[in-house]
Amino acid sequence: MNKELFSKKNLMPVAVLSVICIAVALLLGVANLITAPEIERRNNEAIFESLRIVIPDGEFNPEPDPLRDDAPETVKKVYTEKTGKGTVIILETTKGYTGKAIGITTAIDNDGKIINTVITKNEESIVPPSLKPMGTYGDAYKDATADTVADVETGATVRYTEAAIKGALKDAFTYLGVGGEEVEKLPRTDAELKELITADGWLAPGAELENITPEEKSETLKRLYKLSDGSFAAYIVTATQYVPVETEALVHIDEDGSVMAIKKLSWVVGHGPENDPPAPDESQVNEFFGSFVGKDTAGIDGIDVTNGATGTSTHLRDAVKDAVDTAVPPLPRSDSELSLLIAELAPDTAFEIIAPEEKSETLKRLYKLSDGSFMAYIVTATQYVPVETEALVHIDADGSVIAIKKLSWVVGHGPENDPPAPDESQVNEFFGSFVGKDTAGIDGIDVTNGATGTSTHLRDAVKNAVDIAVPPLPRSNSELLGLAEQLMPNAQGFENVTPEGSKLLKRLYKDVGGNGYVAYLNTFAQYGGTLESETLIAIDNNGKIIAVKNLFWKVGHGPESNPPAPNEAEVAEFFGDFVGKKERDLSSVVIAGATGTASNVRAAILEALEAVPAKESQAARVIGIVLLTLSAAAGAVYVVRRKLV
Amino acid sequence: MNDKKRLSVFLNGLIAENPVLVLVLGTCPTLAQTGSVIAALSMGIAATLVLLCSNVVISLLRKVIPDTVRIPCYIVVIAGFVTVVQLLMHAYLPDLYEMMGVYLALIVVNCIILGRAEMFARKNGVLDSALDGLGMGLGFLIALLAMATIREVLGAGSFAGIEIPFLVDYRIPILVQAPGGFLVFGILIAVINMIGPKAGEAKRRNFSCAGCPSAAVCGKGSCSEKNEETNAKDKED
Repeated sequence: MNKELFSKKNLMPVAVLSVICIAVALLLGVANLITAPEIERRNNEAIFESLRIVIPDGEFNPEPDPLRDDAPETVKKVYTEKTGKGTVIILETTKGYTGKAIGITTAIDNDGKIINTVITKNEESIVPPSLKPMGTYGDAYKDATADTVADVETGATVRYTEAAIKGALKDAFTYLGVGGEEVEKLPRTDAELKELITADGWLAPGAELENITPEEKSETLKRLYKLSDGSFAAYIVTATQYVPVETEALVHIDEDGSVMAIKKLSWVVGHGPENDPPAPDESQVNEFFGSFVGKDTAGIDGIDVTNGATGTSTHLRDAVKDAVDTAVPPLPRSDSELSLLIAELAPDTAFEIIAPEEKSETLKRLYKLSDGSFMAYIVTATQYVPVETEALVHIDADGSVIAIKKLSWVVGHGPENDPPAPDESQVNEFFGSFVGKDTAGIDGIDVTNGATGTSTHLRDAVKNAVDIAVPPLPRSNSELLGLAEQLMPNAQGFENVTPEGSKLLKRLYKDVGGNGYVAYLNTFAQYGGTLESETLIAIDNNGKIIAVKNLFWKVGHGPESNPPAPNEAEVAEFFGDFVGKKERDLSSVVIAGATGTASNVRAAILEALEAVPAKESQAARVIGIVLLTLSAAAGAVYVVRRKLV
Repeated sequence: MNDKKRLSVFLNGLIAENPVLVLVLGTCPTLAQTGSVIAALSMGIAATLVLLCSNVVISLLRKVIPDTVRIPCYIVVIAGFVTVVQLLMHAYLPDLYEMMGVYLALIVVNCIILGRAEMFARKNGVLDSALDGLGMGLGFLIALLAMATIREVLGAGSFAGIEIPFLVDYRIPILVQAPGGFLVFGILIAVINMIGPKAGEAKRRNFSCAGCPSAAVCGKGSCSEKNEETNAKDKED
């Protein structure tokens, strides 16, 4: 086979194609050699033409000035006018509407004002006449400064493109250091940092970094980036009076505020190995850096500084903690503390943190327990009190508060005020009033006299936590249970077995006596998403519907439409037709004049029937598995026999 | 091939087997670049150069290139020449380069060029392939110029950018837009069909295998021979 693979017949096409490719590549190389200088000359001519437009009688060197390392991305070339008229900056931005290149040449005088600006290139797909290259668009920016350039009215209607142009002009000011933002010179540029962050796989190649460095400058946290996976990369630099760059590190922080990785970029200790104690060696330094991995802000506090470099390691430790706290502001209590508290409230019950779909200012942590209940850690704050109240709320699967633990309670005034701040027993009574309440019940809780603000905040926080953990239904749990009892009078009590992720099946109650199930269903209108129907159905253990109760039914049109909406009797008949039906029979239940609503109701009932583990279908499943196994065995025997024969 | 046949090879591409108006190849640049005479001229000349060079090279290499990789080889060669033309235009004719935009690079996938390489250059000698390339290229150019002239004169009231005073007020703007392009294209094809050589007879009677896309798989000799047989049979009947 190898001989055939490498025969002349197979190798010849490959060889010929390769030779042709090489020959064409050489030809293109020659063409490029001949044309490249001319193309560059034309490009330079275009640039110089733009220089002459922005400073008409200016004199420039043929070569641009060397570009500084910290130049903003949009700054491509800089020409200083020889007679002191100003500086011309060639900019290119791709932050317009379509992301195509827009070239700008701008001249800024020594007072920080724009002399003139011209668009030299506009590759956007839609280019209004005013923004065509070498047009008069730039005239509007004459005399603009770093502070006023953003407010220049040009009359152009291309918002994004104009924002990109203005951003680039601001970068020109920044580069020259005339007004605009003061750029702190860092030991490493953003581009270098991005490369370092990408090199270790923290950032996917080609992905962008979002610079979220807080405006309030930190001494050590120089850059904070948000990565595409939600984690953070922090660039920290520590310095001393004598050593401007003592340590540099890149810290990878996860969404929960733990250090995932730390990269040592530099480490300077003020003394050498000959001192006492000696400066730590490479392995000790690496060990110190490694000790940050897996630690959250509380854990970082517990890291031992390195012997022989106490100062340096302390500075670094503090800097890492600062970075972690800035990226993921710490909770008043750590996760480990909360875990202990949960274990106290719900002993012998496993739990896990879950990410709620809804973001909340007060719900800091939501845990799902193995018994189906939830534990919510809530923190309220005010402008002056960062932690006003803290509580742990135990919520059952039906959305009622089982227990609530007060962790902190701060009132803005004391007992001497009028009304006086509530005492301990009053506060405990307030907390106790939440027990047994669902979201509707929480609304009815009275706030505590003397701490109206604090108790209102807490009440709202508890309600928010309950609503997020167990999204509220149109009817309360107690109401639903009462209706279920009416529908299945021989039931001996109900257990909530609602499957996770069900959309229309809002509650599934299983009769503890084994008589079947009762399902509470909601459907929603296609337009507007409003509640369209509420239905209660009783299902026996074989997956057959034994009773149906229509609680609410709304059709999107009235009896005057064509076809007219069904009347009450027709609706009752429709629901009645479901009795005795199983999964496969549902499509036969129809009603004229409300096709959409009926279809949604059928879908909801189907969801309920599928959630019920019918004995019959279990039997069918077993038979199916046996048949499949027998077929597989027969097939295997057949194949083996054929092979043997 | 004698001189007379060589001449017919060259002339074929101009009218009888005009790639645009008869063979209906290369319609994309035809429609896109005929809004102005200058653009049409640029496109025509660029395509002709590429066609000429690629035909010559492919004809030179026709005995060397194996069948299994002939298409990739042709494409590499054609793309190479298109890139050379691009670089030359960028360097020495920047205005035309800007005007042609993306359509310059699209010459690589122009059906005429690959089609002639496959149908003619790989089966004929260098001189004949060169003449064929030149003929087809000039035919392409002529068709483009014809369309561009009609569209620019009637649609924009100008010719090669020079305004025609008495027409500028009576222009039909739609002719320089896409629908107008299709309209003019269709009308030109109809006119060529009507006034072309041996008008009234079925075109396939004069259709040589060299220009037929199905020649490679037909295997029935030229359509002319086949039609002669059919005519003879008709006469007998």
